[in-house]
Amino acid sequence: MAERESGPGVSLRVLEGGRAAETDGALLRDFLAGDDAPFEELWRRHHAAVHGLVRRYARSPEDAKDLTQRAFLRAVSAARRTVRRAGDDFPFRAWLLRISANLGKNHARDEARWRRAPVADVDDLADGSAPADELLLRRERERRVKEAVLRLPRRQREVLTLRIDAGLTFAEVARTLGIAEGNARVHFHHAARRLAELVRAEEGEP
Amino acid sequence: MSHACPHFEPLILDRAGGALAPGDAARLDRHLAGCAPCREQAEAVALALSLAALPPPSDRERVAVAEGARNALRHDGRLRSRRRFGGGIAIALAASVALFLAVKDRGPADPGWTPPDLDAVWAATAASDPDATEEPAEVLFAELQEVDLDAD
Repeated sequence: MAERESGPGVSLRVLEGGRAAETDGALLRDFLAGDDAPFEELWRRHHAAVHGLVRRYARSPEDAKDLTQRAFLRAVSAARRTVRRAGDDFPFRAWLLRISANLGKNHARDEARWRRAPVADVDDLADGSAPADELLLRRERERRVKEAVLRLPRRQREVLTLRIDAGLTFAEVARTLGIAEGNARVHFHHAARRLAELVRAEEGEP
Repeated sequence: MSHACPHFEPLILDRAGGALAPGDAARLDRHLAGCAPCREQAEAVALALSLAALPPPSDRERVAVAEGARNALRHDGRLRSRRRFGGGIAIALAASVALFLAVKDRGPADPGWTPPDLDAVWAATAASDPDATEEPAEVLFAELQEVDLDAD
């Protein structure tokens, strides 16, 4: 790459700046051609979304980290044979997030025993701002609602988690799932309405 | 329990999803000011999504994941075979370690809620193995979209 051969004193900042304008497909192509640096740029761009997505299915922070790495490797491996035909416009982010969602779900399915929550830093709740019984009530409600998320119909769950866990816009959600943006919003509406019904039903409990 | 108005509930849900059109915001606010059922639904949706959201990753998590590119490359068997950028990678790794050490005293996260019964959720799912196909990208991508890991 030209920016890497511009002199012995070239810095990582320069390398990253040069690659920032490249498409994911171009970075993936260069990585598959034998250059490691583009992989790090792909990681920089997308690891937070992947990590956000797989955390819901992970038992621990370590588990989520491993899932993130596995998702990237699997996405790259799966693309290795095909990216040349797709060219620089290869939709790597959508490809990666789709694989991440599937990997997370498969991981959760394969876990025979769950002894701990998907990553949940409940220390955030114990800040002394609310009485203990309120914290316990909140924690119990969170548990029920998070379980309800996992039991949503597949498409609703995919849209909801891509939106609130991975932080994608509805346009990105639609591209990732191969559906219309309006359709993605409708699935989100159904999911949010269903969760709200659960909350309201619990509020009505004696 | 009263129901939200059919014409305004989509706006309530759009707002909850961060997708309310600016032109609709004032219209929805005016309606909410005078409609108790819609206000209750807006509050319920907001509460439900806040309960559904995962807490943000800790600094420890963020650092661990940020350095994961190098680990992933090691797993891929590529980093060991390439020395060209060893210096830059070593510097970046050292920086990551330093940052990790800086935040490690905060102590481990304590995920403390009861696990869901995932066996019931995933019992009828099928594995996705995108590595095992020779299909072109567009076919494989379509297959990925079609992989239905649930029974619903």
